[in-house]
Amino acid sequence: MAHDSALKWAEEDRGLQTGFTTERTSDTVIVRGACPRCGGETEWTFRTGDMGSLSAPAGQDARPQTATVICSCGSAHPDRPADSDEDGCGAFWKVRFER
Amino acid sequence: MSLADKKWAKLADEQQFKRVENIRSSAANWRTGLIALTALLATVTILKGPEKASGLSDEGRMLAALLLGVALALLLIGSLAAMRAAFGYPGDEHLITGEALREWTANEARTAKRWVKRAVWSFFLAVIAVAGAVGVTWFDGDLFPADPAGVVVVERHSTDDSGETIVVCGELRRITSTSLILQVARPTGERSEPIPLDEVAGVAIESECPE
Repeated sequence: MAHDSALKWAEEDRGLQTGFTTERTSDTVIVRGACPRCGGETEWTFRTGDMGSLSAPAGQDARPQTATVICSCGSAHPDRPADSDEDGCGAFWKVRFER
Repeated sequence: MSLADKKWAKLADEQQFKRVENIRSSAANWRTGLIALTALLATVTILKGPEKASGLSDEGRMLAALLLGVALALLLIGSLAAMRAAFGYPGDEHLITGEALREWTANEARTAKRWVKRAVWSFFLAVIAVAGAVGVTWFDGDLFPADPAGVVVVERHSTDDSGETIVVCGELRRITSTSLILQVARPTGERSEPIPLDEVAGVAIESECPE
């Protein structure tokens, strides 16, 4: 799917998506793949941090199974709100993490 | 899935810019709270100085000290609970996603509410304990009446030949090798009365003198 950079910006929910690669480092998980809406190559980084006393239920992996990713294809899609700090087409979707 | 998921995802992404700010803010708040706790400790320690309790009975002094100790512990617990509710504790490092942040926020809201309730209950129980300690100081005499001083009742052989015995009652002052010395109340006033040991027929300790 070619990147449609002329696609108008819209907050479109694309649900659970597959076909994304995840790269783990000691304190990040990087998700890469094509935006299911505009087709642009997107990279989204989840970082570790302190969230107070949050702890995973006993016996479970602390990392979430699914997480929301926002398109960050880098294109200035038309109709993007002036106050938006996004750098994508506005679409968002969920990806499932490997255990 | 909704736009809320996107907002949480953006909020989670913004956390990377606030890591140092968050931990420093938390540290500053805890420092302020701990200074307040230190001041509380100092104040209570000064207020419950032993000289304030010198007029109390042993039981009253112990009970008042116990109640003040409980009150202090409850105030400390309450203050710490309120600080926990207000500032949270630093925790372990986790991967911050929108979903994790959303779950944490919901849990933290519930947890903070529980800590606020604990703080309020601790405060009220501490007030009750302090009131109890004050009550002990006010009503110490009624709660723990002092035992009346014992008196010594001496049966003394009459100095004449009648064979009768005379009862002498009073506070024992001292015993010498030849006599018992009692402080005896007479119509003319109290006086020290020696009773030769060879005239003593019997001795008993009573709570008060017989009529």
